[in-house]
Amino acid sequence: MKADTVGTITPAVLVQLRPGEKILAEHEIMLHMDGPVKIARKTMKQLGVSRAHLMGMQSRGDNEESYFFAEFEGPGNVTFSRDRAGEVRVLDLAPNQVVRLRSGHLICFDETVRYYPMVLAQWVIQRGNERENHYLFVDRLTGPGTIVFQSVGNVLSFTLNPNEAIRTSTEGLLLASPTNGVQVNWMQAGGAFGGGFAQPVLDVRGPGAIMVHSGV
Amino acid sequence: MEIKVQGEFVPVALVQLAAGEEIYCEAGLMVYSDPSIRFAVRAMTQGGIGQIIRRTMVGGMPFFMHVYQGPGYAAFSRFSPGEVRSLELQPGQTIDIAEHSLLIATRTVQYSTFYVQGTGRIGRMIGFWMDRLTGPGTIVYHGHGNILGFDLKAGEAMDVDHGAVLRKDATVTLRAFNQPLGGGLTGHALSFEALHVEGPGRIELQTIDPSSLRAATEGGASASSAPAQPPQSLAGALTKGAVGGLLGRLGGG
Repeated sequence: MKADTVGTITPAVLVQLRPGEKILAEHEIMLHMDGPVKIARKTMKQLGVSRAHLMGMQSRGDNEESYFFAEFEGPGNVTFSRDRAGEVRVLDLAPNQVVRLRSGHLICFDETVRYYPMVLAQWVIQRGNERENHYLFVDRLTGPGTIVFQSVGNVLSFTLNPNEAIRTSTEGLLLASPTNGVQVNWMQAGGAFGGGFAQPVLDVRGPGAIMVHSGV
Repeated sequence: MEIKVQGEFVPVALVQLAAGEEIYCEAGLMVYSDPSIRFAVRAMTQGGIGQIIRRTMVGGMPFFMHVYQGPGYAAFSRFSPGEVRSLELQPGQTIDIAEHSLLIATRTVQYSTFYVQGTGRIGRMIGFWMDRLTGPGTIVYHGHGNILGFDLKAGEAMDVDHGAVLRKDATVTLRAFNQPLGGGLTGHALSFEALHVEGPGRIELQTIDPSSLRAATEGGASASSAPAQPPQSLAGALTKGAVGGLLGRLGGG
């Protein structure tokens, strides 16, 4: 596919498909498609994601995960928008190259890309007697093929050397390589009033490239 | 301390702190940081218990500020489209900044609050709070949308929407007034609140009213996507937002 960004602050993605070329996307984010483009349904089962795995994800409260994608087949043009201010990035994945993208940010991907949703990290916030479970859901995408995704706000890219680490907010991590270790830690406050305060953060360790986004 | 702005339309302020340098900010603004940076919490107790209650429970201002101590780096964002500016305050120089617009301030900057009286009409604006900051030191702030600056001479005046005020010198006065929309009873019934601004001093306006952004976010955000943060204010901790929410609605006009 050939993907171009249209617009700046709230961009859309214009995808040009050759005859027989297929891409997958959530159907809700489509803005328009040309007459000759054919649309079909592709279930998660067809993508190799079992129903049990999906139900496990949904039981953890991931509302973004759909049971199917829309499959668009060329020739023709399709545009997508996630209706948010953010940068659109197009990434060409080499065969067996893997990236882990925060859930809810994927726009579309070639049918040759293997898609698998998963939980990358989880943490618990205790409020009195109540335990709140929080999860970082990601889409695990394996090449070959092209993926298109959008951040919230601007994208800040970092390449971490082995054992080099960066700390991000739990909302800040957008994309990580499979070689990056991602761990939830609690940033405990010091000082006289610090005892009761701690905030969950993600400590991401190299090697590997990561992306952080500046919006929430 | 070194400050660098990253990103374009949702910028972050990247702050490089040397050993012993310290900055403070509201909770929940950190985007990424050096894992080795030290983190603490400081209570804002200026003005005694009466002022604290008024400021936090009525005004919704934060009671606790987060403190980051060098060496190391940390990046902060207001997570919305806008511009980030930094300002070097001279000793004794005082400025007022719209609430929830300050990104960070160095340890030497004194933090207080400033109340802009509303017209007090039923169902209309009851006033609002601004952060009052006194130098010496450096501050970094976020303007929602674009920032428009005006240098007013003594007695020079302009009228602005209260959501547009981003920062002003302490010498610039703000007075809420009721602007009728045409003549007669209908004009008064359709009137709206505005602020009369008078110099001398500098005022900066922002082109997006942050309350409209908050309304959009609160309307669209799901519980699962909300960032998990400790309570930001005494009001939040004590009343779980009930009083603040009620007064916020009254104050929103």
